[in-house]
Amino acid sequence: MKSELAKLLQRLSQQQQHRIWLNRILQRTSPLVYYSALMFFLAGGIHQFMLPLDTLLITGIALGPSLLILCWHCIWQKPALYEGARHADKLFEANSLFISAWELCRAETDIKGTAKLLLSRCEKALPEWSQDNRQLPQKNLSPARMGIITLGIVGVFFLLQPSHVQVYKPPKATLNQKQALIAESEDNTARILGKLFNHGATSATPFSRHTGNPSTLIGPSKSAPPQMSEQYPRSKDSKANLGIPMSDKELSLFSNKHGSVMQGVLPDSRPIAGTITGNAGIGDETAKPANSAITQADEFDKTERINIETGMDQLSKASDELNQGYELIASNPEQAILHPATNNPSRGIVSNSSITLLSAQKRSLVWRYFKQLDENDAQRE
Amino acid sequence: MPRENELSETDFQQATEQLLELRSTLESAIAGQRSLITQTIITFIAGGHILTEGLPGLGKTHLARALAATTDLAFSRIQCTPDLMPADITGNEMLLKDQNGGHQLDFQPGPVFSNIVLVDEINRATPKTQSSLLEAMQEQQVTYTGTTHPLPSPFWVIATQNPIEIEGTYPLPEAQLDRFMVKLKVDFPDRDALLAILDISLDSEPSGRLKPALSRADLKQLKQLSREIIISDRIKQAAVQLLLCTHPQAGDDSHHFRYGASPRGLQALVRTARAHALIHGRLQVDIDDLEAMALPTLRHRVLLSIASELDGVDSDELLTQLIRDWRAHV
Repeated sequence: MKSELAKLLQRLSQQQQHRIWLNRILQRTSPLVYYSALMFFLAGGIHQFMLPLDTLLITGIALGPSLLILCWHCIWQKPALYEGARHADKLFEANSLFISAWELCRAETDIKGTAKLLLSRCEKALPEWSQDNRQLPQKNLSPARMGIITLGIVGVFFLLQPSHVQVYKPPKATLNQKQALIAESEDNTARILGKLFNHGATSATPFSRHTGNPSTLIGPSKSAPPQMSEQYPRSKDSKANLGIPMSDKELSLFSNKHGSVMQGVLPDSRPIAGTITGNAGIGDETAKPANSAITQADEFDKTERINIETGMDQLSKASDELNQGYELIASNPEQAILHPATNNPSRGIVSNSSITLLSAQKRSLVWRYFKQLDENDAQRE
Repeated sequence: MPRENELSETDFQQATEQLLELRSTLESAIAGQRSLITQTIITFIAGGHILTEGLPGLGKTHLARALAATTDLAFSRIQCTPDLMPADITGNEMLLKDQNGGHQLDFQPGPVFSNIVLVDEINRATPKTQSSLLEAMQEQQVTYTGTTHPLPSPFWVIATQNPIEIEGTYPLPEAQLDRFMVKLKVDFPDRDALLAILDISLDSEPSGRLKPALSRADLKQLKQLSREIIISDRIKQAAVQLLLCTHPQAGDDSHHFRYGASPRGLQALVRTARAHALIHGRLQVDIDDLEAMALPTLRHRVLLSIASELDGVDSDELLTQLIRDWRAHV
């Protein structure tokens, strides 16, 4: 009787021991679960909407401490079997009958008198205790805990999804590399500008300041789309002038910004009166009449053209996407109004009710020039 | 109750019923003191002496007489006064004439030679007289002029104290208080109990009408059975923990005590808890048994600090709080 009873009591004690163990782990690690869930939620939100984060690093930070402490609790906080027996006695409201019988069964003494009587009472109570053990209520998570865990799951989902935030990472360069880049960009600037003006030496320069009526110059900007320019009277002396209308403010800014470059680069700084639209010296040796047909670039050598075409094609596409192109339309030679190109696929300089299209190379070359100037300024800054 | 063979469930249940019957018999003679009667029976079964404290006229003497009547035991009463001598309690030798015409000294036993001894207002006797009684309680014998005279068995002492008349009294020192297993406080009966007292004992003492509910043999077996009640290690640890809570080093509220309970108090606690389990039909001691007997067994074994006494801290309230805290954590 004693051995069988001992086994049954042992089993019930072990069940309670495991239950205590699990409750203890859940109770003492619940703050860690909250910590991990909140970390995942915050990191997921930041990753999705603010700044891309390293998923592995975040997972390590969120789960690492929790797992370590959980392991510690699992290893070092396991309750003794005696605690299980005590808990069983309390749970079954046995008034120390369970634990007294459990101790008697484990003792190596003869069972007689009241001890024997106690074990027989315990045997009679075992079926009821086993029934109570099976009917123990399950503990449910509180709504607050469920909410926090749900936030954590949402955060994990956000972390696993690719971030929608595009972060520009400027290339890192050493001081020497930076200087080399500046020098290279200046070389490129000079080369491009040289090509521009060498081929259009007889033509008016595209960059000029008109006394009284300042010419309008606008470089394709990477930022805001170009604004409406002012209208300027056309000078009779103006030839094929690649002029893009520019407001006084923009002109002053541009002059101040690129004045030194202009002076150092421009082979010919003679002012050009007014804004002349037309094929202003880009690939044209002679100014074409305003109502001339579409002109094409033919001054560049083959290599140059290939390089430009190879680079420009990409740049022209990029510039078109960024800047939506430029369209200069003038209903009369006296006026030159710049409109951003919208649905009009043709982009060019219009004068005298005609449209003179810039080739993709020329357009991109100009855009590239101004972009190079901007990069020079950025590097100097 | 035969105990020749192995103890059976029937025997045990019979033992419990006998105790319950004894309690109901005493309740028929003393109204409104159920708790007092239960704790008195428990202490008797546990083999300890009782110190009661209460206002005059609450039935302390009556209880002792009734207990003696229901257990078929000899009863004697000692009324303590300041001029009471030790020989008045223990007895002395007297010169008597023998049959041959000679004279011889013969020891004449005192009132302490009885089964149940009621010592009324023990705090009125001188310390010398008190010590002679306490020696008898401790050793269950009386020594007079080198001759030892054993006291009868069973031997119980019920001592009483009056808490209001303290002038001309000699309070028992703590060392001697420790010899009493429990200290019971007799509460004033409620309205219903007072009405019952009128019905029961208006013209005569009901204890004179009581018939024995237990024989001496039954009492002996009950005492033996009480010693066989199972005490688990958990209960022992809990009892030790409770005892240590009364010591000032334990912290919290125990810093009000100057001295905590002694190991004799621990023994008293566990013995009375066994008897408490027996009267409630349990074969094992439970935490509830310890909790029920904690205050009676410990209240006279702790000493408040002077500061706490001056602050008016009540020892019983403090102990009750300690027991409650212990119960919550055990």
